[in-house]
Amino acid sequence: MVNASSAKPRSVTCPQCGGGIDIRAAGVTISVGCQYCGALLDVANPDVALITAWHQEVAKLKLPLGSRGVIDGVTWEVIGWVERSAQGWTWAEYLLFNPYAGYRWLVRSGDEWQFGRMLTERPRELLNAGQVDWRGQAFTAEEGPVTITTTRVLGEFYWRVRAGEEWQAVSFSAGPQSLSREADGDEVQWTHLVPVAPQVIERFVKPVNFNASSPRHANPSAPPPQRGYSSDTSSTWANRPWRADGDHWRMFAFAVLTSLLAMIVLALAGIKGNEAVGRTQLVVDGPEVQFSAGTITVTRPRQFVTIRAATDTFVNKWVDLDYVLVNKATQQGVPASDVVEYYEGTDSDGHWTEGSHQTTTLIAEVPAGNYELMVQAQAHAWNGGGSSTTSSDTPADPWGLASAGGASAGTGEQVSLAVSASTGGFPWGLFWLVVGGVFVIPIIIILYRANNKDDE
Amino acid sequence: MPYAVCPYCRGVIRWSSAGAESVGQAAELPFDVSPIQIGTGGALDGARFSVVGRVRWAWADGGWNEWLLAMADGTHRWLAEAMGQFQILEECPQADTAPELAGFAAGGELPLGTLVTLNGLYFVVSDSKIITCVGAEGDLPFATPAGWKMHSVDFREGEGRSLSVQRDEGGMAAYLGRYVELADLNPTNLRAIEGWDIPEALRGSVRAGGRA
Repeated sequence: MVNASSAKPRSVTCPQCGGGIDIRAAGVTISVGCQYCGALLDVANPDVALITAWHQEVAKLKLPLGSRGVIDGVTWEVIGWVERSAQGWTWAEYLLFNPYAGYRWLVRSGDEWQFGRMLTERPRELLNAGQVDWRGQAFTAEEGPVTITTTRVLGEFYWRVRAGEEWQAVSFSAGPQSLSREADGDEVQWTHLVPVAPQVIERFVKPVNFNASSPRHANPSAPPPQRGYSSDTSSTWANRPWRADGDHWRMFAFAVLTSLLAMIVLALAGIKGNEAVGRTQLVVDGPEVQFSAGTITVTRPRQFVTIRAATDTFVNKWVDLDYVLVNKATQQGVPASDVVEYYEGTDSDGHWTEGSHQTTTLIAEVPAGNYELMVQAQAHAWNGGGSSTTSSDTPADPWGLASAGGASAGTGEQVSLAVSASTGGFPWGLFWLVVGGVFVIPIIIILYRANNKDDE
Repeated sequence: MPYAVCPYCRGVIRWSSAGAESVGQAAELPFDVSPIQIGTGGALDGARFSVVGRVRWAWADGGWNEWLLAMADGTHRWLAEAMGQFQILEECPQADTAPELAGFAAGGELPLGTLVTLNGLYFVVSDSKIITCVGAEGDLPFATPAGWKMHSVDFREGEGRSLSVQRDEGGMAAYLGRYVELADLNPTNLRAIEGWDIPEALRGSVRAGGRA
């Protein structure tokens, strides 16, 4: 039959940031919160539509989307995450999926985890008020109904999820088990919850290629590497007689001219304008800090925005930086991320250092408008090194898994961070790409000719 | 089965004593990750079944599959698959003995919360919506033209039973059933899904090939 072959995940492109999103539960999933920019998308129809742009930074999840783990003998994949709150208390719920076993929930409240299963039957309300019966067991209500608000969402869902949706919830318990009754108007959903040992959660495996700090493959803000400042010259050369004599000088003159032109164009696009600076202190392996670096104005229709981050001189640490340039009029966000890292140590070849204490991110083609730069930063210690360690063959904890309860937690060590945003900036990477592009053709032609002369 | 969807041209074919006749075109089935496929086998109430057809329905906020099961005794059931949950449903011919359902069949409304007594069970209307057929495959008891619309009403019941009522210009059909776990059906020949292993409990004794 047509559909009998192996099924692959469907893939869509986020209309906001261009990130590639795999739909893990194709045919069932309705809403997707983009894991790169947080935009909430409607994938029920073939044309993926933006529901709302989430201009906050994408949350750093304990279980990143795509993580897999085994609970009760079944492998589950984390496909969605919702942050919910009630009465000032905030917790996270992860939606799990297995195409053969359906959906489950993992509810994280502080360090405690519960595994939830949606019921297809309704527990019976007992005459004794505040009690329900489910499969022969009595559950007692813990407290009156509370209003639960969904505050943030990421990942994919089989219903039309939205931030701000509210449910009336009552929890019933019987020993460690509980039943949660959530109602939204006429719709009532019961969920049975059992505790899960933290070790089960620790054994979840994060997805391959996962790198929370830099989803660069989906980053729209990197300068477009191939956008053709040099295409004019190559078409000119294509029209040239291939073996004209004495044209090397012209070839090089063209290359030099093109490079100069590229420099002028890029410099004009990058004339320096206004600047905003924000500063903060980060506790190493401490919580993520979110702050605004201030507001800048992009005056020309399309302009570069340069974001610089600098820290004091730490050793064997890194700072994850996530930026969102939020247009104050439209609330649309342009995300970017970067990292400041500096390591040193001694190995068989002697002393080595890697990284620096500053970094620059260039965002291309920012439309005119007022922008606020939101920064989320988190400092981490590199456990494989340690500031006094001399041997560091293996980065012991490339994903920073250990840092949650890690060795260096709680030392209170601090890193100072300053982040500045300015309009303008010179895209050196793009410039050198153009220079490389325009010189490589004449060089190849000359080498080719030189070779052929030798043959004759 | 009187109708079949050609897997190559999506044409809907009616079988009769005069032979095969094309009666329309079914929509292309959108991709989904269902573990069921034509040829999946299993057991239900002690009888073997084989999946022979599928209709896919969609509404504003989602979609689901209805798989046609050909039972070993010659009867048919439906396996409805929505949001990772499964229901076994059987057409209920005496549904219009319930006055509320008879009223609905005659063009009336079934507001949310309406209580309906059928076969000694109490059902409450939990969902009411317009649905569209977005694709079909295999052998089916009715034609499935692209864009076919129905008014569908779902009911819930305390013990995990379910009732679904569908109405179009041609009349009303009611389906009575219950929620099941896929593993309870001892399925065989489930669809392979890239990146996933079929869980131990669902592996059954895999028949090579099935109908595929």
